Amino acid sequence: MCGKMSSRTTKRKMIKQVAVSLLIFILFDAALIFIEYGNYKEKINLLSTVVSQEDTVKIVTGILKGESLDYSEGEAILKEYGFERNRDNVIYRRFWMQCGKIIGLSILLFGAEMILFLIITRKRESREITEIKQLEKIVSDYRKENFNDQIVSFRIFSNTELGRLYLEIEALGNTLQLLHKRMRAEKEETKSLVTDISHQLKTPVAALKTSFEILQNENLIKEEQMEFTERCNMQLRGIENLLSALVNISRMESGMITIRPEENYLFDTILEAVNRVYEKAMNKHISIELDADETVEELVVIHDPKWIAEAFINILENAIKYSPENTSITIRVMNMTTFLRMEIEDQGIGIPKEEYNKVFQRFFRGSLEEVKKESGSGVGLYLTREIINRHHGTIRVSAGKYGVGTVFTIQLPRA
Amino acid sequence: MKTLTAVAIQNNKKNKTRSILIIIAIVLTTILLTIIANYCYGIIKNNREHAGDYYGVYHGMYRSISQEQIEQMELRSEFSKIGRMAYAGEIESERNMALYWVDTVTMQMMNMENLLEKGTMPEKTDEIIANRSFFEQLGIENPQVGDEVTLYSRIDNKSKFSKNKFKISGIIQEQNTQLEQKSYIGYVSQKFYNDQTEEDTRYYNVYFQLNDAVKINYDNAEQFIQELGKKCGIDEKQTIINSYYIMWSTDPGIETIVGGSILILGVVVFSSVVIYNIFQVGIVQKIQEYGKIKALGATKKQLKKIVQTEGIILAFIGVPIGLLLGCIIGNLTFAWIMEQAKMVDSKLEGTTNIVSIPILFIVIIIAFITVRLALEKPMRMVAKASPVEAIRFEGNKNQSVRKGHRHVSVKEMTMANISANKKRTVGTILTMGLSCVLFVVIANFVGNMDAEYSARQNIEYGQIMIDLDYSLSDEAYPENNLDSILKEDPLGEDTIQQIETIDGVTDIRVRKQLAMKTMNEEGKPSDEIFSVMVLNREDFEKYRKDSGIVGDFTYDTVAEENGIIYGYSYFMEDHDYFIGQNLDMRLENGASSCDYNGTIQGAFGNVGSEWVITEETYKQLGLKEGGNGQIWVDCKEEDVESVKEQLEDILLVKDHVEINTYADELQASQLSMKMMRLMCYVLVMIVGLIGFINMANTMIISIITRRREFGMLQAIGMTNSQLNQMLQTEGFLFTIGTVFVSMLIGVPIGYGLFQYGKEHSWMGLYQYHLPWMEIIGMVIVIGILQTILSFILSRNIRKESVISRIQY
Amino acid sequence: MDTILKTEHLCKIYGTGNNLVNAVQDVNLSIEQGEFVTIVGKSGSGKSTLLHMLGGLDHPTSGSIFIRDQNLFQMKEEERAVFRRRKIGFVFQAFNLISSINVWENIVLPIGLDGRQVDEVFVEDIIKTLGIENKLHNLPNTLSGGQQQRVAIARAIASKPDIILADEPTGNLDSKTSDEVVGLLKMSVQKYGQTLIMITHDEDIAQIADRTIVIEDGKVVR
Repeated sequence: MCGKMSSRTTKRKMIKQVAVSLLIFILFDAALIFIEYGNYKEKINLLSTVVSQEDTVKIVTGILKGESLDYSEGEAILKEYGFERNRDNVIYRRFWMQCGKIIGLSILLFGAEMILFLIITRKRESREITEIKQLEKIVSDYRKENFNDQIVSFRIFSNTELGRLYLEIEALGNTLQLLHKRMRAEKEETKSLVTDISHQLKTPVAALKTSFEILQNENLIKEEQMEFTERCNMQLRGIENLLSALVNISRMESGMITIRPEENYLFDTILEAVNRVYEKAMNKHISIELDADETVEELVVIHDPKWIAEAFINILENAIKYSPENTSITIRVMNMTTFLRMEIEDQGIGIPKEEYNKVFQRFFRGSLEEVKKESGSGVGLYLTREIINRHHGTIRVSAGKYGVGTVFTIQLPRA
Repeated sequence: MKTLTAVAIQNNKKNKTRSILIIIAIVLTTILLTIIANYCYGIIKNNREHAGDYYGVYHGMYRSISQEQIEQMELRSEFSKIGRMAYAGEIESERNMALYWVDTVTMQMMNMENLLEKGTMPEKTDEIIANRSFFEQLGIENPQVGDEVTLYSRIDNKSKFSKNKFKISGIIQEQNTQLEQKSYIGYVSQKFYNDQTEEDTRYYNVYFQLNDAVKINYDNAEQFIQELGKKCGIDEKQTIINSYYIMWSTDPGIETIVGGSILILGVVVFSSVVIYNIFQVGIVQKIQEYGKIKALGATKKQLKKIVQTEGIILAFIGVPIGLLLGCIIGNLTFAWIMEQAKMVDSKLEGTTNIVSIPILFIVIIIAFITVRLALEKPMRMVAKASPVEAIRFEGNKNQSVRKGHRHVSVKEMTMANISANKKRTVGTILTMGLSCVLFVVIANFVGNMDAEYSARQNIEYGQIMIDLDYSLSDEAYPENNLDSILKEDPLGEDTIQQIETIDGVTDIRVRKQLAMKTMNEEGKPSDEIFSVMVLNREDFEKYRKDSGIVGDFTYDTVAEENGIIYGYSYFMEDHDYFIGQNLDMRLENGASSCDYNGTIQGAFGNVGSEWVITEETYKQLGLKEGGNGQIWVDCKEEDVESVKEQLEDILLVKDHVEINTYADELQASQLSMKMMRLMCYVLVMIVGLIGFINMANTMIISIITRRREFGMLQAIGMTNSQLNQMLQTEGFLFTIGTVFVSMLIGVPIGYGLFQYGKEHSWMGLYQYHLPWMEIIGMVIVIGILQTILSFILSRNIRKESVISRIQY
Repeated sequence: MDTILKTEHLCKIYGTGNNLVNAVQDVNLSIEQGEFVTIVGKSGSGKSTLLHMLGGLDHPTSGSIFIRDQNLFQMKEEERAVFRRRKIGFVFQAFNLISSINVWENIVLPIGLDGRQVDEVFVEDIIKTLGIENKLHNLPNTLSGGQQQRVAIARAIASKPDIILADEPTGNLDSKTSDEVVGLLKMSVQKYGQTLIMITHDEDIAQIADRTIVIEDGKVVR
């Protein structure tokens, strides 16, 4: 189908080229004949001029010196003798013969050109066919999901259309490859997730198990019993937390839950997140301040409020967790050209610089004592980053303004 | 102050390319200026010197002056030199032969000393000097110094011829190689003259030179000299002025100076634009530097000073070189031209040193002025520079939006570049174009010079022309005047018949020539003589077509009304003639005379005679046969020499005739045209070089400044060949623009010049044709230079890696 | 396995004798398709040289660069130029926009130079994403730095290259604009499935990338 199409266009192109060159030949011939006719006319005029004067030497030298021809008289004389202009005479015949020669020669030339043209087109066609075959091979390779053996050898195709087609095919191949890769990556991801989860669960469950075993020992005094029950409770709560986080992660990672971005007021989402952590903040006498333009209240951003709120909550919870009492957390919202920029700044313990990159890794726990003291799964920020990534946004962490605390900078595309 | 100079020197060193280009431009400009100034000076000086050679180094002459009057003259301060000459008798001969005595002062004044070929001046009573033809007339074939000559002479008409024996003491060079000798004169000693005459009957023709302190000019000279004569008791009628000498010697060369000044002005304007252009682009590029200097605390004045010093330093290098080269080139070419001219005109003597120190000083000043002018705008610009603004200078400020194309490739990119830098583009095209305009104008002029036509103007028909060598106002020798010559009728019927018998002569044409005299109040003819040419229909119409005419007339209208046409339209107003003026004249053809009354119907551009009447009118005048003014003899080309020799034999006995051949004439006009071309093309080439330097500068700068942009383009995917293509296209557009401008301006100006020249009978301007060959040549040269330049530059730029260009 | 860009023993030496500078020493990199990699290092660490070589703008002294198994420096110069403009888009610190043509023309110029037809829908989409739809007819020097960098990004993306190389794209911008530009770059490459390699000396910004390569004295340390 494709081949036919291209052959039709090439045919049309060929016809056009042939027509153009034919036209040039015709024009050229016409011009030559016109000149030839001028020559013929001049000859007749010369003869007419000469015949009209008696002193031929004088008239001829005159003509040779460039005097203008006065042939009207002579023309009449010639007419008397029956030599009329454009009638049969030797010169007139010679003129026609000349025309014939011109036409004949140009037909010959035209023929030669056509043959040359044909040869060149043939050659080009055969080259194109090999190129098309190469393209075919690439496509069939793609179908076999074989992206590596392909002849990705870069070439400038002799036919620019084919070259472009090649580019398109290659781009398609790249996309296919990318998809392929993503599929494989997802599988890998799930695998590592399972390993991670089992690893993460093993420790608290083992601890719980030990606690229970101790509890089952009836020799315990009441205080000890109380303590271990409490410890069990704590372990359970920890497992519960971990589980809910893991559920979120696994749902998201396995694609069970997709983010459904819709036009929503971002302010509402922020409010929702703040409300959810408000109690915890109150307990530590930490105030949450919102520093935003009034326009932000009206701002509609395409996002999934449920997940974005989740992301915010993770950050806010972290902030509350690692901030001393009687501090404040500031949320700044700024409207940029493409993005909505949000900075969440706390006055807490901060994050060491070398951990900036790691805090978003799955199950990463900070190295600071304060962090180790607190319970946490190391999943929150990872999840946050995933959510923001899926909104085509960015998140990064930096030190607070005066070297105290931490700032999380989030950018969400506005549209 | 010193710091500023140091900064300027540093700047010059840093912008090496710019500095070199400017120096070259200054050198070329100075060369041009020097050549022009030297030529003007040389021409004026030459004219003055040769005026003496041609017409004698004296302001005038008083005729028939007595010894007392001479003494009177000698008392007067106005005369610086007084020389005497006396008529020492008439020689018995068929021809007009006479003896004169001249004193050494007169000899000097008349350049006779230089002419003395061998021997000495006559001192003894029996010594004589003369030219060879004089002696030949006396039957001595090969006169040698020391030979004896016998001749019969008498002091006046009343006396009888008496036999005198002389010894030839010297031989004078033949003044004219032709045989149109007017009269044959032998010079004898004072002793001989004194022997011949009584003391109280001695009258002298006194030649004199006026003191340099006497301020005369051409207009008041005659009156002044007459009044001076009166003071010495000399009558007006005795006064004769050497008007040609006065004209040339008093002429300050206004025309030459005006012409030279216009040229110089043109050069100054052109060069300062070019130098300005080079400076400007250089400064635009480095404006930040100046801004920084300003930020360091330099005042505006100091900034200006820096730029000025930069320019002046370059001028100090360029001007002396240019001066030297200009003098060398100017002197060599001028000498060559003089050499060529001498081949045509044997009277020219010696070489002229055309270098004059004061003139060179003027040239230096003009050269510096040129540079200073060029600096004016850059200086102001630099003064305005601010370190902050400087960085943003690049690009077009006033434009913020561009419509643009949806699809952009090399072509659009190039066009965008050009239109974004409109000022620069237009500037380059204009300066380039203007230098080509000069070329086109000159090509228009030079290319249309037609040697054959020029020769044919002088020799209208056939191969050989014989015509009368007459004067119209020779008061010293009235026999040289046209009316007298016509009376002798040297080209009369008998001569023509003789010519007809010469072998090889195929055709003879004759044209009549009349003498015309104005009538004074009493109805008598005055002394003033004009020449009148009689033209037949064919010649008349030819002249009418070829030379720019004034007035509306044809052969028929002139013939019908017996009108008269003036011969030199250009001088018509000078002589207070006007169309419709009625003339009341007497016409003479030697054989007879008649009164003529006619109206001036117009004027020809230049026909070689003051007046023209038609053949019809001539016939109606009813004059007797006579008055042949010109004879053209035609023959085969190979016969020219032999025919000419025979003609010379025939005409040997005739006075006042001149023979010219077409071949000689053609050679002469070809030669002079060759000179003309050489001069013109030298000028054009230098101007073109300056223009090219400008173009080269613009391209170099535009490429250097855009090095980074090119790097960017290449980083985003422009290949080398595309870059090349872009530069070539740019160059091509420059070329097209240049050619377009030069054609648009040059051709009309050239055509105007041609028409003007034709009207004023400049050499060989006949039929206008566009100088295609020259223009195509020019286009090809520009194209090639342009291509080479862009090729070299793009190659040069490729040497650097893309990334080093981007980061620069 | 899905390596789009790979270097083997890449070295670049400037100068000779005592002035010898090992700008890049034995760098072996492998970058996956679709990845966002930042190369972090102090100024003079050789990161720019590395990036220029990756983009085929500078010749390595030794070693080789493969883009999709094509050895970049085994191509002829002209061929490489064509290859580069199809496969690689550049974003420079100094924006490097062409001053004589307007924003739209700047964006589509690489496509035009390649003799391709402009996919107007695609380009308009990029322009909209980058928020410069109102500036299309402006000349570059009338735009602010951030706007100019958006144009440069649009230009890099518009020709649909596989790899975008960004050389300190935020070097001339204030921090908020920097964040936005990097966000844009990231968003764009995500959206159009391209690979992004960005040089920066700002580690904060580097966090946004999927991976960070740290270079010191011409060597990859992390």
